[in-house]
Amino acid sequence: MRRSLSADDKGFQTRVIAFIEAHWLASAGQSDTLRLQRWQAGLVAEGWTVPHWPVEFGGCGWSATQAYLWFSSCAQYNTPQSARTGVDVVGPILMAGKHPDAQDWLADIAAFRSRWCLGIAERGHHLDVVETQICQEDQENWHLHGHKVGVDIQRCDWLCCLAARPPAGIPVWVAVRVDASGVKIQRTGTASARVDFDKVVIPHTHLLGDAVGVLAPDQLALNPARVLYRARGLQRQIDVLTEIVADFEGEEGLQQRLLALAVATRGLLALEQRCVDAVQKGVPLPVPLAALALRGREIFAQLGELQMESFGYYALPYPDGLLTHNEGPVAPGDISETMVVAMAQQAGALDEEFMLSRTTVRDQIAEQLRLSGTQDQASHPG
Amino acid sequence: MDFSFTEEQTLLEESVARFIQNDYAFEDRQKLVKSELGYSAKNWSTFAELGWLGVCFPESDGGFGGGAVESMLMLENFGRGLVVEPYLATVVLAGGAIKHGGNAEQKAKYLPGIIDGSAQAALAYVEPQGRFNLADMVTTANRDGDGYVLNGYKAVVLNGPAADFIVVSARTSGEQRDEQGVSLFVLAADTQGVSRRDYPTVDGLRASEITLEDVKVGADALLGAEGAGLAILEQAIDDGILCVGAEAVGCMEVLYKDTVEYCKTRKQFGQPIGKFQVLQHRMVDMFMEHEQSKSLMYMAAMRMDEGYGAQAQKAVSAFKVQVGKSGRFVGQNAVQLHGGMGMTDELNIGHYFKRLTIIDTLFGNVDYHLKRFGQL
Repeated sequence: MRRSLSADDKGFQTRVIAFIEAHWLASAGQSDTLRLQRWQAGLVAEGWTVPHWPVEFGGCGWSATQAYLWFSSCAQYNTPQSARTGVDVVGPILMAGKHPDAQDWLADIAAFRSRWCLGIAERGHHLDVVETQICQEDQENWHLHGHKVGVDIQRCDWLCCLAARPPAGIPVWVAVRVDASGVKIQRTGTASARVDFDKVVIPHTHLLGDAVGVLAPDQLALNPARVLYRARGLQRQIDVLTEIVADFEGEEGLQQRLLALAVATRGLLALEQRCVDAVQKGVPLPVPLAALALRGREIFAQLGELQMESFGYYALPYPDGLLTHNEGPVAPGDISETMVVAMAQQAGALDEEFMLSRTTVRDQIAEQLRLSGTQDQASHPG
Repeated sequence: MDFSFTEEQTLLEESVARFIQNDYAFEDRQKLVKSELGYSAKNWSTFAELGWLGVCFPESDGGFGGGAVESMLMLENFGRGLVVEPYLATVVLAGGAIKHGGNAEQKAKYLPGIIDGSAQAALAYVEPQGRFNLADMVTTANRDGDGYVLNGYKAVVLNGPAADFIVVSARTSGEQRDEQGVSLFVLAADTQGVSRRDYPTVDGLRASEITLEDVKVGADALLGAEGAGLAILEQAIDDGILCVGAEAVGCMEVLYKDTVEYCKTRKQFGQPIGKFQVLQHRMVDMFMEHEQSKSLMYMAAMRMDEGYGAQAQKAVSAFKVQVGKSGRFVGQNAVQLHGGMGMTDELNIGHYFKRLTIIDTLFGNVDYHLKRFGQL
């Protein structure tokens, strides 16, 4: 057993850190838009926009350890997680299907030329109920009716929408232009919107694939790139928060809980590394991927609670003016970047919860561990 | 990063696992717990014959040159079998203190007996007022000519009843909680002035309260430099934490697996209770707690093998925190899911839970190690 990296991997790690320093850390202090542009331009130039995709679609063919070094370093240095929906959800859907325009769309996603958002949840329905319908109008076109809520539609060109196809109501992924006729967007918060579809014409080529099996929302939410490299990012946030609360008087309980969370996050990191090692060696994972998702989600939820406690009463409503007018127990100058991270992560977590609730994750793990007594197989993957 | 074991480590792990599976049935273990000695001398000889007692000593001291990973592998299996033989007290704690702090003569005098199984030992470091602070001690060792005179009281000395020699911490200078001034001495258990009160612990082991009354020892009893014993003690205790933590991981695995099996066979309302979602979710959480602890165990062992220092100490404390929390969670839920029979003496579940409860307190509880983790 050893924690150290091989010489090759060490060299790769040095390259990754140098890249992040040049294209992200060096631009600290500049405007967010400029920093994002520089970052994305660097990725495109280096060919690292979609490193974990298959090589034929623009992936880098990295080993599991290299992918881990890249993604965990990005999480550690808080680099932009731009185009994640396109990269981690729409990309796999397009790759799995036989869509004639798949290569073009994938190339657009990989080059940040198109931006996607997800439409899954509907008001008044549980996550597994889809009432938005896609009906065939003629040979070429279909019509989309219904609505979606909680859509993070900012600056997006495309909406990847879950709709039911009658008569069986099979869920299907549909690509919808956000500026198409019949699409009505109503903002319901800083980063989310309700989107209504009124007879939106969908070319049949924009039906991306049935949302079942590996393309079901819960399976897509378990994309390794979404769950396997979270710990370093969580650690960074915990470190920042720990520094902030270090001077709080009479808040020993809060400091103690942060320490406990730091320990739990170390455990997640170690678990991630065991999984990466298993992938590298081509042996079964020590735990189901869903278990990592669950642990990451739980730690994140606790972190959110502690952030809110730490930021004081100003943290609760998340008003737009908060970042510049925070008069809570933390000085505005100290808090703003952390607050931005916290809010962005809240939005990201919401996105994950739409696709896969923690109850569902536990169900999945139970199924994989065969806990029900209906199968005879081993109940422990190790 | 590489989490695989070497061929030698795999062979060692398989050897211990085989012994536990074939020769350490729960019923036999229970008989040992009730025996006068509290463990099996025959098993101890087997440990020596198989080389297990020398695994973590350097080859220069007659051992096999293993490290933290080897200890971890052995103790995880000992945890699965709830082994009562005093490996921790003799080899890891007392043997560890001599390994880390002893001079060549002391090592030559004491370690061969440990390795060949002919000697039992104990580490007497706990004092009633000290809780988990290793430096908090009122036991004194005053200069007396070339030697020292020890006076004081040591509590919960594991394996005290069977020990042939004892490593004792005592203050040679400084105030009650000063880090400087702590010294370690190794002395025969029957040295004049040493008296014991022996008792069984709740998890089936044996311990003693030891009183030191004008105990005279020579200068050759001093381990390491005078007043600099705390660092040696800390290292031996951190070795011990890794070992009992590994034991706890083994215990948790048994509790998880036995609970899953029980829930698959126990029927309520015409179906196995394992089909109920709420119980499945509890078992998922038990599984996660075990795996999380195991992951931190690997990290702690690797850090210890990289070299003892602040990072290793931090990793060990993180592991101890996790084991304390996870052990309680897994133990409580194993009992809950087994129902009333989980509390009975006849079933192994309660015994594993007792061991986990003791391990949580041993060498510092969750709060203590959380604080230490934050300070390092």
